[in-house]
Amino acid sequence: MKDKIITLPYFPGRAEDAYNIKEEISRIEGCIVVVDLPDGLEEEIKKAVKKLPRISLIVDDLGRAIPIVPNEPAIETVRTSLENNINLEFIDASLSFPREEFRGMDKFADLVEDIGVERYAELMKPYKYQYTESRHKYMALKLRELMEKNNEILFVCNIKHFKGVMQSLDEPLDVGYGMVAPTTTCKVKESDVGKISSEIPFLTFQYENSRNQGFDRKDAIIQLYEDEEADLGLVETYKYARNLAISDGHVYPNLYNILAAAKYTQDDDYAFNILERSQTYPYTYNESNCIIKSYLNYDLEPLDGTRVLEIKKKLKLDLKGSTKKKRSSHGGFFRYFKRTQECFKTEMIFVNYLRNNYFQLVPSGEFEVEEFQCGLGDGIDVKQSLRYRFTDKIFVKNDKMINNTGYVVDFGGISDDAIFCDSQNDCVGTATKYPQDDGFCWNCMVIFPDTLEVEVSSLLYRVSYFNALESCVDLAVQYSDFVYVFSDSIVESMENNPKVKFLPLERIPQKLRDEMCCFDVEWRN
Amino acid sequence: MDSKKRIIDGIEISLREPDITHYKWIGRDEEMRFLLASWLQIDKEDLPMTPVLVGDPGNGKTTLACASAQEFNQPAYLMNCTSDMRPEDLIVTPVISSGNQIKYRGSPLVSAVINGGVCVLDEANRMNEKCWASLAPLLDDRRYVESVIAGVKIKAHSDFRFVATMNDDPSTYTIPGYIESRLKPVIEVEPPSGEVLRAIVKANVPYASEDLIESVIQHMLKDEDAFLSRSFSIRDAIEVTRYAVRLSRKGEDYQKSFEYIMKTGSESL
Ligand SMILES: Nc1ncnc2c1ncn2[C@@H]1O[C@H](COP(=O)(O)OP(=O)(O)OP(=O)(O)O)[C@@H](O)[C@H]1O
Ligand SMILES: [Mg+2]
Repeated sequence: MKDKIITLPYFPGRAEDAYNIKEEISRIEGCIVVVDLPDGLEEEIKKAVKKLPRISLIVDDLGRAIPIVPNEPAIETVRTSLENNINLEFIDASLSFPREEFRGMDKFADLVEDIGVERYAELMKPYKYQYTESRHKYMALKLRELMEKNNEILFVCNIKHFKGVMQSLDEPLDVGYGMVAPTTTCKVKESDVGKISSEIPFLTFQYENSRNQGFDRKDAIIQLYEDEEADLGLVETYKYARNLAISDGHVYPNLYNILAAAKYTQDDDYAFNILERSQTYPYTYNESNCIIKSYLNYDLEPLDGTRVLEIKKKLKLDLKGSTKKKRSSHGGFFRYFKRTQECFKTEMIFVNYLRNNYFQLVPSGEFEVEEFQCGLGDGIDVKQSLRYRFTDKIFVKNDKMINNTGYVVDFGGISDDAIFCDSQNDCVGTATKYPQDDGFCWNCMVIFPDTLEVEVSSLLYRVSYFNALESCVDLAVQYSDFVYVFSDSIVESMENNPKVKFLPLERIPQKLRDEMCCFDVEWRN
Repeated sequence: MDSKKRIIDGIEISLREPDITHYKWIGRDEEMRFLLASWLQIDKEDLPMTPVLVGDPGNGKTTLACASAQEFNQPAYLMNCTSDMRPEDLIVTPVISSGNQIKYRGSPLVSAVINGGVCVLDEANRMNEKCWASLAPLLDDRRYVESVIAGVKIKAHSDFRFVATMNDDPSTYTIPGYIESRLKPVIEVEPPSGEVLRAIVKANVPYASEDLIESVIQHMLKDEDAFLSRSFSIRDAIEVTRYAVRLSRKGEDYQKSFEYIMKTGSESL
């Protein structure tokens, strides 16, 4: 009798399986379709399926839920059968264990809420075997009944249960209970779609759009990745996502691996955008009649299950706002100051940090000549080699590299107070007086290379109060071969200058910045 | 065939032995998975990616690269980069041998390219633009390097894999854009959790007692801000533990010493 049954096993939530089942059902004729959805919930489920593509969730008193989503194979089975007017039977047991087992736990849904799904699933574990087995028996019994009445049966079944059901077909069956647990149908809002399905909402959306043409997960993921900015690296990003999936033992990447690939081949901001986009499913209800919490499926497993990946959304620190000062209408005047010994040390540390960590070496055009040992350097020095030709030695020359890097550090804020210069460390910049005491805080400063040949005080006049950053960068560019600008703003005219590199202020360790930012003076006039 | 010498286009190039590494990567499986996944080659048409590990000094980038090579069952060739390195140092350098003959010596990179294996381009951010330019064809689908000095073009072995490590902050040289776009994925090696840190210290200083390690870790974690702001690294934790072992053998009070070390930073070691 078993040969009357054509089985279509599926993986829950897998859109590819939903599509195959849809194709199969549309092709067959004179067959009855049987699906492993709870017997007794036909009305509720069909009603919700007819509302698709809007998504609902059918929740019962036991805290179990059935998501009515387009990509769910069992739901697609119902949907296609309804569309094609094919006879359909639900054969899973709604409540397949006696209630006495759970005496005192009347309101399961409330219990789930109180203790959380994981703990609830844990509590259910001892009953799980019996629970699953009795469902298999129930399904087998229903199948037998149907086989007697029908010629051919197309049986759509979760791959987990398919074997158990088939085995039970051969056993004597006594199934005593087939109670129906009361249910509520919840309308699901867009922000909740991700909570009720293991599928990525955006891919559910893609499935819905392409369910008549065929669903290609790779295309759908590439669509998710498609972004105005990222199209160049898209191939690499997808390839890496695929590799990550394989290293996880999957064929296609899950959300976690999709985001990891986005993060590591592009950046955190891009990954964050993808995360946001991945949660879009536009065909939803605006309002919901339920608060959607975590639920279990009929196998008593959480509806979703994810790992955590840290994506840092870049926050733009607005240093400007916090120290913003009113500009005075008249300019300032120049001051000379002597820093306290303490400040002098701080400044040395700061300047040394920059010089040691951020520099570009450039060829000086002068050559150093040395005896050849290994490496030809910038070529053989013919003059020297000829001079020593009797000794069999070869001389090579190396272009001497020099460090001529300048720095602009923009601590933020606008000064209307003072322009300082420091001839010891070769820097100039604008500063603002502390309101409380005798100190000043830098706003924007230039630190020249230590090879500077002019007197810094002669450059003082070139620094502008109002365009401090711009004037500082200009000055630095003129007197250095390469300039690092530490600022949270950009000087547009300099953005494409190959001699200038803009870096966020936070690249300098906080501690150094804090110490450097303000200084005490001993005298001024 | 002798793995130490190869003749390419009639030019004999002597090669390096791979680095002998017994690195053990503790905890943080995900970081290793991220790296290994980038080396996967699904079919012949498919090319392995060229990843880069970034992170603050002493957090295990070099260790991760070498341990992953081991996991990938390929020898590791470690290539240390310096700012005065030249393209030929990266590929093939001429050396004088007996009889004033010029011989060609392959770098660790070229040895990996020829023999197959993982080249770990360590501290790659120190390299200048000229060097990067010479790597460009190796990092895309051409997969070869060219030695101007020896006048040969060397095609990469199908088992050749590449990984660069870079420090997060000090960009000694700016990496040219055309290279940056080839170096993908960029995997962050983050500071580990307290638990993992404990296991790493234990593995690296096996002769330290549990109590001692525990008090070092507690001490390091106490100042959570400093830990999170990464003012000390795994290397610091290991060094501090080693130092503490030495002190405790001398009978000194190591609690006090920690405080001193923490204040003055790891330079005091
Ligand atoms: N997961 C780990 N398992 C075992 N040891 C580790 C791990 N992470 C770091 N270490 C240890 O930490 C120390 C520093 O690691 P490593 O030298 O790889 O850091 P790095 O990031 O390359 O530093 P740098 O930027 O200074 O080169 C090594 O002694 C290494 O053994
Ligand atoms: Mg290293």
